[in-house]
Amino acid sequence: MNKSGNRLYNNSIRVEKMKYKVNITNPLLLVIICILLSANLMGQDIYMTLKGSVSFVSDAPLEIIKAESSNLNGAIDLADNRFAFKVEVKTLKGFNSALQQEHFYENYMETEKYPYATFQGKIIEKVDLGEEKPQFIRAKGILYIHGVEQERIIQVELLGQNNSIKIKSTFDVSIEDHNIRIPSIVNKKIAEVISVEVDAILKPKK
Amino acid sequence: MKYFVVIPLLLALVTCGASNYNLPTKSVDLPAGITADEIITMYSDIRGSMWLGTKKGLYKWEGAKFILYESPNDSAFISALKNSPGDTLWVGFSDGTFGYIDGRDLVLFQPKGYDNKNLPVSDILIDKENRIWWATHGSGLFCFTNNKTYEITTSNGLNDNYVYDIEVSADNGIWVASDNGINICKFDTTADSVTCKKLPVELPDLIVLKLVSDHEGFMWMGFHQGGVGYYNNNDSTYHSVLHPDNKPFGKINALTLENNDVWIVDNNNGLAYSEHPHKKLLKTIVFDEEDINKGVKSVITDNLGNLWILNRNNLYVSYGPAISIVTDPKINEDFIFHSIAKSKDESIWVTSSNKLINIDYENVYYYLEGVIQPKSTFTSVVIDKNEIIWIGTLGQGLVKFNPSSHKYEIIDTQNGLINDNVLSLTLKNNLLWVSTLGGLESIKISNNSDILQFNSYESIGDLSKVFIYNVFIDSKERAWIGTDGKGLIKLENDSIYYYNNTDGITDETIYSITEDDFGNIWFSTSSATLYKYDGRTFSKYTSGQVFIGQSIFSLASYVNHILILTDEGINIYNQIDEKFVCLNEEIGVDVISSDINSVCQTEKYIAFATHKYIIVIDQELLSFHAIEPSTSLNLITVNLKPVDISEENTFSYSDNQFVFDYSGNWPLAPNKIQYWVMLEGYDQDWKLTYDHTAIYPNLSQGKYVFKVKAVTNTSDIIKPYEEFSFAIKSPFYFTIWFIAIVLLIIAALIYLYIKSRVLRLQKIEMQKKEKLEFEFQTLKNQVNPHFLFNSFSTLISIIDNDPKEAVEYTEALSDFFRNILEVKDQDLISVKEEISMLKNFMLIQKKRFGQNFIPTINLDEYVIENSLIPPLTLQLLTENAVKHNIIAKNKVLKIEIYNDQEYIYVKNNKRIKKNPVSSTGIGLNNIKDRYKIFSGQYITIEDTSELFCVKLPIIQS
Repeated sequence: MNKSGNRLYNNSIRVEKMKYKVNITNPLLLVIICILLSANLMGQDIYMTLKGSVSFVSDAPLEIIKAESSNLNGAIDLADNRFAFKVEVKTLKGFNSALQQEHFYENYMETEKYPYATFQGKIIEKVDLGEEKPQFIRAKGILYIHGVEQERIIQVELLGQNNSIKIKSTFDVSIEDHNIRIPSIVNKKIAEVISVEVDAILKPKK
Repeated sequence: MKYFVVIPLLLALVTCGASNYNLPTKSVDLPAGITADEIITMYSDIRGSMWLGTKKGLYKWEGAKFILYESPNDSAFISALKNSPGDTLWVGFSDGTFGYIDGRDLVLFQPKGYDNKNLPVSDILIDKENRIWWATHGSGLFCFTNNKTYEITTSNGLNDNYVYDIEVSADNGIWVASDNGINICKFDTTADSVTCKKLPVELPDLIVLKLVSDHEGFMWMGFHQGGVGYYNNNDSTYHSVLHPDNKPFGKINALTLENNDVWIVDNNNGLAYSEHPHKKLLKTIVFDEEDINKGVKSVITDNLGNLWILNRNNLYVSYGPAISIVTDPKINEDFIFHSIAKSKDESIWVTSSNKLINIDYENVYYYLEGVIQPKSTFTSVVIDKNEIIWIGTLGQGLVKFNPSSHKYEIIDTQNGLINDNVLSLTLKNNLLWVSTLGGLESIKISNNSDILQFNSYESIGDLSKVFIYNVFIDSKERAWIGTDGKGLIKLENDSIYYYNNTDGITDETIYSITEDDFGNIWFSTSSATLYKYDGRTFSKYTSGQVFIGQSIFSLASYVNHILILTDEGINIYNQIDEKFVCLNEEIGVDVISSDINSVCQTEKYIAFATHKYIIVIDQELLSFHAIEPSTSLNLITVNLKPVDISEENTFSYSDNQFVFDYSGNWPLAPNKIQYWVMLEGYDQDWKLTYDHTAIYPNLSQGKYVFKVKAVTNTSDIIKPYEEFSFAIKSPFYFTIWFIAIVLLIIAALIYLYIKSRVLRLQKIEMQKKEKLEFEFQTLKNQVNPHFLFNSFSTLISIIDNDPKEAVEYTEALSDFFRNILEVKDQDLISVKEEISMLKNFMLIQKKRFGQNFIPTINLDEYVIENSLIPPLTLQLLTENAVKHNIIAKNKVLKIEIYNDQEYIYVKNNKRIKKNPVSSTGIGLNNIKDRYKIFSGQYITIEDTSELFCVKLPIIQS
């Protein structure tokens, strides 16, 4: 194994160690993303984006709420089959009113305490960029929202195209699982399970 | 009355693909403060005890509730539980540590050289070489052997470090299920390392969540997206298992092996059950509450045979698929199932009023509607080996029906049948026995079944007027006939035997007959009495002995067991253990009603038809169920403090307040549980109670054995039971040594008292004796004839010379005698008195001896005034001196009486007479004794050739 290989291996150990350790994820994740992004050796295996799209839909009996952010940062390391994604919660825009957005930030998501949502881990299937049809791969990792970590396996549609990787995924997030408390008065306006959609094109790190 | 979601599919349908179980369930109370969501793992240990590994600790089901086991590792939660293959229960924690259960304690195991990465332990196992293997969520696999830990990760052969499950195969390979397929790892002793290879077949999914090895050597695996399959090691092939309802499998949450059957827990579809694993035959499970199948996490069987189901909302318990209650939602009329039969394909045929019904998989078929008159009913149904269905009717004889051609034929009295009212049909060896309201008939069924040979048994006697309820052909080809009012009739080689009142059968109306595997004949009567006939005698059983119920509907038997269907439920009597259970709530029925005995039995199943239910019993699965609740003695307190049961059970006398807390485990119907309780050494007999504590507030010393047994019925066979032996020591004042010492002391005190009293009495007696003797001696001395003679001679000589002096002499003599009489009764007198008496005596003697007798009294005034002396002591000594010595002219007797600080001395010179006066020595000894008695002092005598001196101690007044 060459020097860079060792380095990546060490990185992966650090990623492993992070699991199950609550509340230190954010700074560590930043470090990891930085390392992933700055790894200039074997750079052809690392794909990244700073402008991915995340949106969510809350389909409750009394109200449908939608919001979207196009500030999803993310990186995939195909050499190691690892990934890391991060979004600042406050970049989510949309909602049905400004007041609703304020409640979302301050009361439900508590962005002061937990400014970021992240998902990082490993890719189960081997990614084949030569494949012309979309591949379905599973991303397994720690989903960190509202300070609560959940181990998730999320199915992702992946397509290698023009030296870039297009990813698309829809998954559910249970607000109970992430300890997000909704006042009972607005219970019927916010769904218990939020549908999240991710859409991004990652380009090789130069 | 509660009914279950009625499902047309039967467990009996094993030969043709899928069918469903319908399991009634009960929810179980979780430990306080624990939600189903917080339960990480559920496990049934090698003894069948239930364990819950939760985020808040480890819990064990003990009878009626979960008990917390204190964890040495509070910060981490329980992530794995396993005791394969040994009997130690291993416990894995979320921080990478693990331990095991030792008695009541959870002990951490710290393998040497284990580089713990603080990632959860997902599984632990001990292989056949006693190596400990454990897997983690992210740091690979570890093996501990030879006091060394081996780490197996992606860097040395593992496909992925995130391991979900490990399992040991028959050839001692460690199968590792991870995010990247399956590795088979082996410890290589020559290379001192672990080598892993990839399973050499393509699997439907990379993420393998569960592994379980069945008894036939197949390795079952459950995938994240690939459903369930198994690997056959013999031909190295992988086989997928299809979902019974042809639905796609969801994530496999659990695979559980029970009695070589595999339970599959599918996150999307709930429970499925594989009865013949390698034949890919699955059955899905349907619950009476549909929600139970949502998000099922785990399923296991406990030591009673009950099925425990954990889903994301709750924990449930069910009797499991051994007894299915089959009813059908499509049968919407109020059915009364009169009879039941099973065809070769195990589908069920029942009759209700005048319809024949075939329940076959998802369909219900109705036959023969309108064939007989509406008032008639189908009473019985049997299927012969040609798959021809024979139906008995009430009023229209027999109906013979061919289900493949749908052709039927009515056989009644016009065709030669003995009676048109058929009560039951029995088929054995091509002989169809027809029991009717007017006697018994048999029909020989030949392959050419158009020809019927009737045999009406008219030789039996007047049976033509008797109702025949049932005919049973036993293993020795004897026909047992149950009659109405004529008792039981046996037909053997054309001989007829009657069993009735004379044989002790008090009720002569016989309903149902069966034979057990020992050859005993069992039959029930209209008065709910069960008889067993062993060939010689009849044993009689009534409700409470081997069954509960006021009506017995049907009987059946399977290995060692008798099944008795009564109005109270299904009674299962185990003949070997002499135990029975009456199942009703447990299997989801309350009261069963039936108007005729209807049971059919195949090699694997027994099916009963009742008014509301068709009850299908899987004989093999039923044999895995416990007949009675398990009993556990949970807590014993003495004076409210818990007792360590492992210690020696001897208590001090003050530890006499005992409380026993016990429970019976019958989670499906806990309200049925009663306890037989006895404290041997206190209670005379067993007591039956609903209480789960027994309190003995004030036990005295002795040996005791506390015995308890939980039961669901009142059968009086109380064994085996749980017991606790203990002893209460005697208090110290009841111990033998203490009693002995006390007795000794009492005896000694009595002895001393008696002894002192005897001494005192002796002393008093002695004093009396001494005094009397002294008086006697003194008197004797003084009335001594010599004394008188001498005195009177002296007096005579004086009278002439000096009459005046003679008067004085006489007065002195008279005073002398009077004084003796005065003092003789006293113990002590003053020295002064003694001196005055002595002076009289000396005067008398002086007159006699003149100058030859020289007494001198030279006592201190103080002594004279303040001292006491035994009376006549000085006089006696003076007398002695006079008596023993020669008193003559040249032999002067000098007597000196003087004193010092301690003594009075009486001293005389010695001129001993040649012919000594006989002396008894009484005088001197008497003085000695009197001194001893009255003053406690001793006199001293100095006797030399010249002098005789007596020292008398001065007695202060």
